[in-house]
Amino acid sequence: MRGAMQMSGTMRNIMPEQPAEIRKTNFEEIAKGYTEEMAVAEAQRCLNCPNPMCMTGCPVKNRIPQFIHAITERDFKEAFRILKVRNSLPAICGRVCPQEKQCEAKCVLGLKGEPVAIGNLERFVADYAREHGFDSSPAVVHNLTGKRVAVVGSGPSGLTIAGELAKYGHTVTIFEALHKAGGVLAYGIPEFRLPKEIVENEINALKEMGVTIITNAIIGRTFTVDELLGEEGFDAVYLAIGASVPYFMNIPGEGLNGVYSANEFLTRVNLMHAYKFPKTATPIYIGKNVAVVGGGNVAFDAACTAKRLGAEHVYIVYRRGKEEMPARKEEIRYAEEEGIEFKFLNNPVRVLGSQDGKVVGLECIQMELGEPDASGRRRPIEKKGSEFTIPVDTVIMAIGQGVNPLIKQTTPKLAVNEQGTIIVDENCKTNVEGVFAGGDVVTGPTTVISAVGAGRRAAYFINEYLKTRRRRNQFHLPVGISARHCHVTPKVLEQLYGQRFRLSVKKYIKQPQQFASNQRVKFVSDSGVEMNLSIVGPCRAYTQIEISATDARTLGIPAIVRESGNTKGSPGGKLVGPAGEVKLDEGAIVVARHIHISEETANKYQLKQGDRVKIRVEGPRSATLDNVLVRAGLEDFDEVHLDTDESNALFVKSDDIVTIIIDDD
Amino acid sequence: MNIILKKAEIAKNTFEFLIRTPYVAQKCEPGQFVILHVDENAERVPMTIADFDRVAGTITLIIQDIGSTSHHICHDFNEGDNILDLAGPLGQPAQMGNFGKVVVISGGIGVAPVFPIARKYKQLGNYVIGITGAKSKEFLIWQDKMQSICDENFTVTEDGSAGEKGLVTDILDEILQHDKVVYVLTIGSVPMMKKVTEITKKHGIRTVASLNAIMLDGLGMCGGCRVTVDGKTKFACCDGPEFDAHLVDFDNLLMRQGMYHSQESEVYGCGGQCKCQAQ
Ligand SMILES: Cc1cc2nc3c(=O)[nH]c(=O)nc-3n(C[C@H](O)[C@H](O)[C@H](O)COP(=O)(O)OP(=O)(O)OC[C@H]3O[C@@H](n4cnc5c(N)ncnc54)[C@H](O)[C@@H]3O)c2cc1C
Ligand code: SF4
Ligand code: FES
Repeated sequence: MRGAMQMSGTMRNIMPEQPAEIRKTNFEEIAKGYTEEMAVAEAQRCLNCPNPMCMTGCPVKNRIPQFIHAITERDFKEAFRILKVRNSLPAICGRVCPQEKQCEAKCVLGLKGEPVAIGNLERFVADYAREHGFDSSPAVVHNLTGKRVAVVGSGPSGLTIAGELAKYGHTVTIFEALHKAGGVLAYGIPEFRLPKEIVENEINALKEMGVTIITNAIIGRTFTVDELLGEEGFDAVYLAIGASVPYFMNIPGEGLNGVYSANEFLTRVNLMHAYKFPKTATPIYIGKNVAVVGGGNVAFDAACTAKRLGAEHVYIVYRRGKEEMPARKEEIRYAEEEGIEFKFLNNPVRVLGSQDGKVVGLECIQMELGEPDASGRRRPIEKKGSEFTIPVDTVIMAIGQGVNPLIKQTTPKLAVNEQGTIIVDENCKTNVEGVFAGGDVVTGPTTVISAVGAGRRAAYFINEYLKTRRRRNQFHLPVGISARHCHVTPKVLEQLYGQRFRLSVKKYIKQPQQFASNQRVKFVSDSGVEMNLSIVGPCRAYTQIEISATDARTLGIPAIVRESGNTKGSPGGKLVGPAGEVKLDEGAIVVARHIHISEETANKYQLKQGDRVKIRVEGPRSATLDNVLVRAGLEDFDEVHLDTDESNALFVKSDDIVTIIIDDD
Repeated sequence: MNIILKKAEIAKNTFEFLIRTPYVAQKCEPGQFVILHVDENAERVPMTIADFDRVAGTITLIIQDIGSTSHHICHDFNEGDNILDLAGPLGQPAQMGNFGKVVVISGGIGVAPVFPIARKYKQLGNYVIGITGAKSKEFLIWQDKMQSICDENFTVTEDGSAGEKGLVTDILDEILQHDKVVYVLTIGSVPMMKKVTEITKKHGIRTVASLNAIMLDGLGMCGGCRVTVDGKTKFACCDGPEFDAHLVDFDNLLMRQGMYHSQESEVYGCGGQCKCQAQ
């Protein structure tokens, strides 16, 4: 391992790393992070400047000297608290920020020696907090405001704003098109640079704060922006869909097999785990030699991933020189150590293929640097007649990304500029009422921290905006509303008891306890919770038969009703009777025509027997039910029933949000 | 979430799945597809929506057991099972209009995605002629459904075990001799769609094809589904799947469909015969 402690004041402490020879054969994180001692030693290098320049370099103005000072005092809790004031995702930013261009570029120690390793320290504090379990210390959550915000996209910008808005007390739902949340953090940046566990940790923290994340929901298709603000009942929408459409070079041969966009290549590996093929079903093609075109982080991630997949030679083909490469300095060093070969001042002109359409080479032309262009970098110019071919089996294009036009196509009035990025004003507002945007979709591809910064800013302005909105007469039922019984069909009972039951509704209403004493069924949840249930007869006016828990506990089915299907997050389980058992996710067992709320909730919102309300169930199977009757529950439970009519069964699972809307008229 | 309500083997190795997924059922239009990711280790695969019921909140998918993933779905997923992830509806809806006399021509299970499009053509007042082909009778599906919405419906099998013996393109040729067809939709194997395109080009008939490229996200963020149309790169998932057939580079599509043949045949022993030979 690298990284002996260095006590010299001009040199920074280096994080221990997996040696290049070993790490290029695995996907584990490259850098292992400071030990406590290293972190304190590094923190002691900080001069705690009265006029800290580092802060001017940080896009979110992290309170850098303060958090570093707390490290010197070994008050890591305080250090973490300070970091969280400005940055929602310190464990991630500490790892992926281009510090050498931001905070560390401005650190005064950098004038004479090496700047304080601010990123390493940020990472250390966040990791320490996570490992010691004080990272999720309950953030101050205001009283629920009843206002609802839809966040579109679950990358760093979406995750950040969701947390901030939840703290203000708003109800937040994130819609994510992919099957997994995290955006680039999940599908783009590889495990060896950003362990997915860290991203999942952030996502779980949001869920704990009550944020709902709905995956497989493509805004523009599954719902449009107008529908979110209309029938879906959101008060505001934040668009954080990133800039994820890969550019190609439009050179001959790009349609050959073996040409990938970096996005496709990285998604296959990071999201779909193609490196475990055939254990996982997603294949990837790599071959012996790989050329990656581009010089940014994306190119380096693709190159180092290709190396780990077993490529012998991996080339980075870049049309400018090393100094001009936008990738993080650390990434470039890692790649060099891992034997990635650089082809600077070269530009591809053609991909060469075999008869059967496979890539066999990349023809490039040499470049030289001319006058500086608009970006201040010297413009590369082709050297006539200098074409040459690199023999490769795979070509990965990492030359930039644009914004997906779907939202614009389906929200024509939304103003975007020529490149398709969404136009916002200084309050993060688009030209559409109630619609805000931030992150890469506004700026084009930038950095995680700028997406985080945008999310935080937008949270402030959305909160201001929501203050101007009339409060809706609606509230969300907290997850955990009691389900004291589930409903089964007579067929299921037959299976459980081996006998037919003929129960008449009339009889039951007269003698509700009739069956409770002798007919028993056990409910065993997938998580192993067991409880005894008794049959209480047909549910009023409906054909199902209720099985009710006799003790005061709930069924462990947070919402009312379960339909078949052992869905993610829903408790699942089985019913066991004397004659057999029935899995709760087999067949249409549990269908309910009403939901239960506690008496306390009913009182809080002044629901009275006989009131009519609307219920919205929000989840992958959303529904709005009108004209739902409020009535008292069974006498032996202190609960209130909301009955839908016969034709409307409710389908709710545990992560769904149930909203009750009270129409005033 | 996405529960399989019904499953039936409707032809050899061909299964019809009825799936409850209310959001998708509510929104989908003929020509659109969904992405399935059936369990943790599964691939993301596109499946065209073959039918839908907005009230019941269901969609119908026809899946033929031809590759590792379709085999997994066809054999390990049964009524009552849940599909882990189902995203959609995706892609541009099929172009619609009152064109006049329309031919819808499909091979194998291509008839499934054709059906809802043809039904809508009919609803919009077109005269719809259906041509469905299959290797043999046992591979033929949905002829009753096609019968019910087409003004004329032809069935062809390669071995003559049902309908006429021959190829769908033979019938097309014949029809074009005496009928004034103005619009053709084709969905099926690449060689078939290519052949259809060559024929209609001669007659100068506007023709669209729905392209079954390999997809990953289906959202426009990977470019793996890219196809060449009119010399330009298009993404089949979001610019398509339907394109002007006369402008499609079918050879490139066929080649790209074979991208993972060698790897998959090595592992699954399907001898490179999977997937592209399918439809
Ligand atoms: C490979 C790679 C490496 C990178 N490395 C670094 C690095 O080291 N340091 C750094 O600072 N930055 C890096 N970046 C850039 C950084 O990741 C991005 O700037 C940042 O993620 C942008 O965040 P975002 O929240 O705006 O969007 P994204 O992270 O792109 O997230 C957008 C999300 O929205 C979803 N979405 C899109 N359309 C829809 C829709 N219609 N409906 C619902 N959901 C939708 C997408 O699926 C995605 O999950 C890297 C980028 C890549 C691709
Ligand atoms: S967020 Fe990024 S720029 Fe800001 S202090 Fe941390 S590492 Fe530096
Ligand atoms: S499938 Fe990824 S862009 Fe079309």
